[in-house]
Amino acid sequence: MTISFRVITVKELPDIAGSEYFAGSEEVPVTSHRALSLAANPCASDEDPAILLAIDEKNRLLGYWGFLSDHLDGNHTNKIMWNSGWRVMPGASHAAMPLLYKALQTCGNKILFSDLTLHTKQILEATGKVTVHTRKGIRWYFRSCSYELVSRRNFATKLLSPFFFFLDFDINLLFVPFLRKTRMPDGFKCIEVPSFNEDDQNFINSIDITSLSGRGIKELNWIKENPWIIPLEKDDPKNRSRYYFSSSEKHFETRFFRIQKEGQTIALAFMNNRNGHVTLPYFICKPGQEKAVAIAIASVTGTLKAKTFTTFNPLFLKSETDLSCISKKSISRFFAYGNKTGITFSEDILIQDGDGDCAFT
Amino acid sequence: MNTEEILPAVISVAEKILKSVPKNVNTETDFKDIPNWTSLNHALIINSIEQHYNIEFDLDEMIEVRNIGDICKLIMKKKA
Repeated sequence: MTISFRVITVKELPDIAGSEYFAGSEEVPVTSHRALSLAANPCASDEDPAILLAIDEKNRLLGYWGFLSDHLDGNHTNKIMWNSGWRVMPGASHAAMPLLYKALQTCGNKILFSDLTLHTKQILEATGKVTVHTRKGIRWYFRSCSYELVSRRNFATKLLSPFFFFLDFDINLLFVPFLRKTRMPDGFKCIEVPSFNEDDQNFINSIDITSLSGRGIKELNWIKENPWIIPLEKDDPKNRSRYYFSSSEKHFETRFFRIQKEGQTIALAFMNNRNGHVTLPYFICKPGQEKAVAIAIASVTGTLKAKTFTTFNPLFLKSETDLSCISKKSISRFFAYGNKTGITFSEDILIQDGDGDCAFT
Repeated sequence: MNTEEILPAVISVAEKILKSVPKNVNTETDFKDIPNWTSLNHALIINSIEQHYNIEFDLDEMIEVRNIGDICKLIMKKKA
């Protein structure tokens, strides 16, 4: 049983993604749009690892691991890697652990994980090479969407999906018209901008908060301009079916907002809307203004026709803003870091919801 | 310390995690041929072995581990 490894660097990505080897593969470890995005990462150097392939003696793909280069708190001397995918092919589970160990070794165990499944969390914890933290968040439901959830689970729940379709219809008919609309606080303005500019960078610099990855406008604009999820109609169905992770969606958009009070910028926000499920990958705010700004953000979710709004952002949650909804629930997300990252974890470090690859999804 | 001495201890650690291990397991047995040898159990077994022998395997060493014999060799190397 031979397992060998091949690292694809950031520099090699665009060529590899268009190569004959990829064109002929049953499954590809990266989509072409994700490859171009990774290659344009302002935090990445040419020789950074982008993908680690595990292959057998016949050159068949056994699994792959995705890396996303970043710097801790914007400090360009402290490079780290985010995990952006760990996939093992069906029938190749024996390659999973060697691939994990090789991935940790490839980046000197200076690695971070932003949103682990319970199973992956358990594996990583058991290795003793990684420390896991649980982040608490809230999801507000503005529409019942049980149909969406059950129809993508398994065959049995798929059979029941018509029942959930009518259940959603009834709940939404009964409750949604009575939801209170969150209004923009007096004197506040939420301006949607196509990209962040130098003034926004100056605003970010003026906020005295230690952030984990410390993304500036260069990184934020790169994320918006280089999405990993593209509209379904622009995605080649042949490529889409050969990629395990998300490649396209019926609706996906990234929107930037500058929140001003009496003409002065007091917050910046970046929101993703994936089929009506809205998230807040980036949110920074002048200290003391969290409550009013959170209400301003909440009012934006209404204009985005959100079915749900989810956030783990401590600035937003600190404001204890409650939104008019049909239900809400507390949720957890597992965040982890390799023991060589040099992180001394404390509550004072701001971890953005979109840190790592979460900003792209 | 040789492989024959280490093998029963390794099997015993694996048995505690996996609940049962086939009787014919030997140094040539690949992990994929042992029922319930999942990724999680792999990590738990390696961790238990490290604690049992008070050693720590390096990532470089773990990458090459494919079968029970590889674990035994690593323990011997660490204990030498």
